[in-house]
Amino acid sequence: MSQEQDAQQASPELHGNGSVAHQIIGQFLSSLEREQGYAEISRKLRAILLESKPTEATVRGALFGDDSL
Amino acid sequence: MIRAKTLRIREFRGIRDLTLDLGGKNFAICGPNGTGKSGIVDALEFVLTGNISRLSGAGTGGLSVKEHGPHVDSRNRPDQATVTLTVHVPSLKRDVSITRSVRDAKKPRIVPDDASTRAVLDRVAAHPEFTLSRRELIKYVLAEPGKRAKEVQEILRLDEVESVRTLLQRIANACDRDVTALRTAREDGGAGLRKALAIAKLSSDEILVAANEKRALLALPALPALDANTSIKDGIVSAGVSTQARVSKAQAKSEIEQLRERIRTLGSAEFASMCVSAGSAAAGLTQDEQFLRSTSREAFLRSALAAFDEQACPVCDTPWDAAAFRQHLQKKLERFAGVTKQREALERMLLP
Repeated sequence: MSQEQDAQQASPELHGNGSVAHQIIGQFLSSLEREQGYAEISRKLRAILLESKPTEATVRGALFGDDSL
Repeated sequence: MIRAKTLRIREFRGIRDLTLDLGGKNFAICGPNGTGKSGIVDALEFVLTGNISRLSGAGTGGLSVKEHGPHVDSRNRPDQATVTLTVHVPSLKRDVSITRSVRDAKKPRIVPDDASTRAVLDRVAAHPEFTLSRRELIKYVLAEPGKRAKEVQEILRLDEVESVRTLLQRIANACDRDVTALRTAREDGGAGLRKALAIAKLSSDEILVAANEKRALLALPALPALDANTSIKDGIVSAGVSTQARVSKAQAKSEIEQLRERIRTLGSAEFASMCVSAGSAAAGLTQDEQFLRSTSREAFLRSALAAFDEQACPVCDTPWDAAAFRQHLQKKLERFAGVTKQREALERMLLP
């Protein structure tokens, strides 16, 4: 394998546990992060959706802050 | 991502000995039925995960990797059934070899065996969607067009995406409901404020002018400006005002009118006459105080009358003529009855 091929194939960013589901969710969160004002929300959602078991309360907290609970 | 470079299969499924040079590229396998195409897919899955989906899970009762993984001629020699795969790992920029035998399916031999290599292979092993069985593919092909997306989700194990989507949708629906209710409340509040201030539209300037006019009537200082934290009621609430529940104006007026009516009644000649009558009746009752004090004896006298044996008083054993005894007690009881009637009449007069 050439170094160029290595670079191309190693580049895709892995999200969560690397499953297809986490890749899709991760790409959605990356897109969200680029939207103005959504960087912090995206960061909080990533921790909840990809690194723990999400519940309505925790997702609401990430979207609207702890005061919304 | 990993790229398969070579695959060696020995005594595994329907394959005795086969080495494929895949070159790290995409490849396709074709051949007549029974030549071992599925066996190659099984070998790839087995060497990477230690499992063969076709021999486990729903609808595979009685089958197992241990018994049905080795070639039929090597069924009793699971150590001979081995698969070796050489892959290129772009993220590590090196080749890795994995060898797994049916006997020790959970203990692959990895070269080079280090933490970073294990991490890459563990990631692959944890997500076996890279192999799709014929059954799964046929299920997708035969799915009705409207249900094909669901089949794809199942094949790629996207149920987690669906649960996240459902969760976000539920929150979005709840927010929509909240927004509708809040919008209605804002419109109602705005309409109420417009009406109270008698202004045509809710602009800061109009509200400020109208509010300051009202505040001037109450001798309150004018508000200099209106912002999100301004209260047009500033200065109205004094320290002594409690936070009691509000009473409606109509209800208060009605209760005040009732109170006035009662005061008028208390001042009338009729009420004064009733007071005089009640006073006379009370005075009549107090004339014989000694007797009033003994009213509690009424029950006692009734008991004595019931227990009388027609010869002597049941209390003190004094001999009595039966008729005289009864008459004596009856007189006392009649007097008690008269007093009771007077008391009841007086109580009725004193009722509000």
